[in-house]
Amino acid sequence: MASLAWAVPVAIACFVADAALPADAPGVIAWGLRVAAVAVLAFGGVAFPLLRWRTWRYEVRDEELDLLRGAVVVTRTLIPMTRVQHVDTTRNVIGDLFDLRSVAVHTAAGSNDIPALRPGEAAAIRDRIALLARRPDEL
Amino acid sequence: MSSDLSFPRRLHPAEIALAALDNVREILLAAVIGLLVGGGSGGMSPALALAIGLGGVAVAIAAGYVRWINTTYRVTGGALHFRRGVLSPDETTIPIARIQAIDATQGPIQRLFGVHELHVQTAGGGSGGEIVLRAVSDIAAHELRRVAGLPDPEEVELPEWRLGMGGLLVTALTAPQIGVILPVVGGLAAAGRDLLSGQSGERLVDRLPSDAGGIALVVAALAGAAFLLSFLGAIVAFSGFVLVRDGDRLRIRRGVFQRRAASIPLARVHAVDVVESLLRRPFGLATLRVETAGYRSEPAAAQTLVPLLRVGSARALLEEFVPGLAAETGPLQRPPTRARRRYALLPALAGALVGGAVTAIWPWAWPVLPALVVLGGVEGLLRRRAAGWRLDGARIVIRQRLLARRTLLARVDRLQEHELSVSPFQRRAGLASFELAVGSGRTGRVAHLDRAVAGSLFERLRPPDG
Repeated sequence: MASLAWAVPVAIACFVADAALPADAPGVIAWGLRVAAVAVLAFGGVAFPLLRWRTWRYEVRDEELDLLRGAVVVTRTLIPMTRVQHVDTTRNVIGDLFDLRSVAVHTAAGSNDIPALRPGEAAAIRDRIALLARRPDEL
Repeated sequence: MSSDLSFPRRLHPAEIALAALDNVREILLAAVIGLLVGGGSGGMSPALALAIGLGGVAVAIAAGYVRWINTTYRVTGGALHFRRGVLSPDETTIPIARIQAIDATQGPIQRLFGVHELHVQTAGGGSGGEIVLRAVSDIAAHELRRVAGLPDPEEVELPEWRLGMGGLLVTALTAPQIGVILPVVGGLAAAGRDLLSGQSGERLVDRLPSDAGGIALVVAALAGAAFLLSFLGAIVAFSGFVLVRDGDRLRIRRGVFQRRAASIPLARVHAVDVVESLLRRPFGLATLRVETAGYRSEPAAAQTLVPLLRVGSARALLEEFVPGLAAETGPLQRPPTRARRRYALLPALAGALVGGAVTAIWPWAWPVLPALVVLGGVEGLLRRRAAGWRLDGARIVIRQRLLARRTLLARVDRLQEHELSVSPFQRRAGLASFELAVGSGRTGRVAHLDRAVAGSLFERLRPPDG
């Protein structure tokens, strides 16, 4: 869903550029812009998220949280459980449409999200991480 | 004299002045807003305004007096109690055993009255101190320290590092802001001039020179002003810089007008950053910064540990002040030679982009384009030469260059997360990038390592089982 954040503005920019073209500009440019807008929307709104969703993996182990993501640049992140400060489930407007939640894992350095989870699953992951992270450990 | 601290004791009367000043500050703000809103039309006579102002000051002093009367501290039942507030008094209690340190600082007002501002530090508290006694006389401070079983700072010899006069000058001369400010000011001046000549600002433009020599003069003047500003800023920020290690705490004091003091528990130092800026590196000079983790309401922070020192003496200094991160270091593992092209490409492209934009606006400036591309490429190659990592048991070293060369020394058992990423281009060449984050939020990254090497580093940093 996050890729809509850039796909939509780029598509709008294409349409604006289309509308702002001088009247005597060749028609090819106008049509090119329109096609580009639709293509950007299709890629950013459908193909890219689908790819991203297919490649998203996470694993909650006793000692660490292992996240693997990215369709183009593949990134694997490891967060030791002892560093987790708190976990929460979050929701947003678009996620609500499909009844989806995210789990946000916070450390002193920032937070990492596990997106697009069923509510029950999200709650289970949150509770499991909270339990595993409970072990006291100084900062 | 009586040294019984079990009865509530007031602060030094200087607190009246401090509290009154706080009030006056608030009144002044209100007065300024009032003037801005209602004034200007000259509705109020000066005499009336003066009377109201004096009345306000009198009220402020009276309020400060009331606050002083109602602010007390005492030690009873093995704990320090601090009570303040008139209508609904707040009381803070800290068990004596939990007090780690009592730090003293002096602001201008405190110096005027010869008193100290005491910060009572606990393990959990932030750098500000859990209890702050704003005005305490010398004798009262001694007593409080004695009751808390803490050594007097004047009586023990502590490791100390001071920034001397020469060091301060060099720090200010090589202040890292200069490198950033210069191009920004130059760009702004040029853009502003362009804007003026294009629009209706003809009269202003008439006064500005239009030939190349004149422009250069204006830019030079602006650059000089920027340099002076940055120089003075650094002087103000770093004069009187003192670093002291008191057992498990670091104390940093600096500043001319406002003496700023920070107290950092060593346990919360997750990493030290050695920053060699573009201007300092040729002279073998660097700045040390500490990266500390946030705790409760205290934000995570990175702050200057030592403003300026020879890189060669960094290890000896760390040995004395942050021993946990001072291990002997060998040569770093560097990205393979086949990563060169990838390192050079991105900065060169960035240079091309900026150069292209400049050329599009001012066609006569076209030589900027190839120059920036070459500069970008060279910077990229230098980045590869600077990049590297090393794992020495409990400490990891990550070095990277973004104009300035930064070497991060971090505690492995305090890493917040680490990351391995592979782009399609890297996959083809068998490369991968490695990144880690420390508790302050600072990240250290080495791009384009051999994939197998980066993978094994990733595995070695995983927490042990059980």
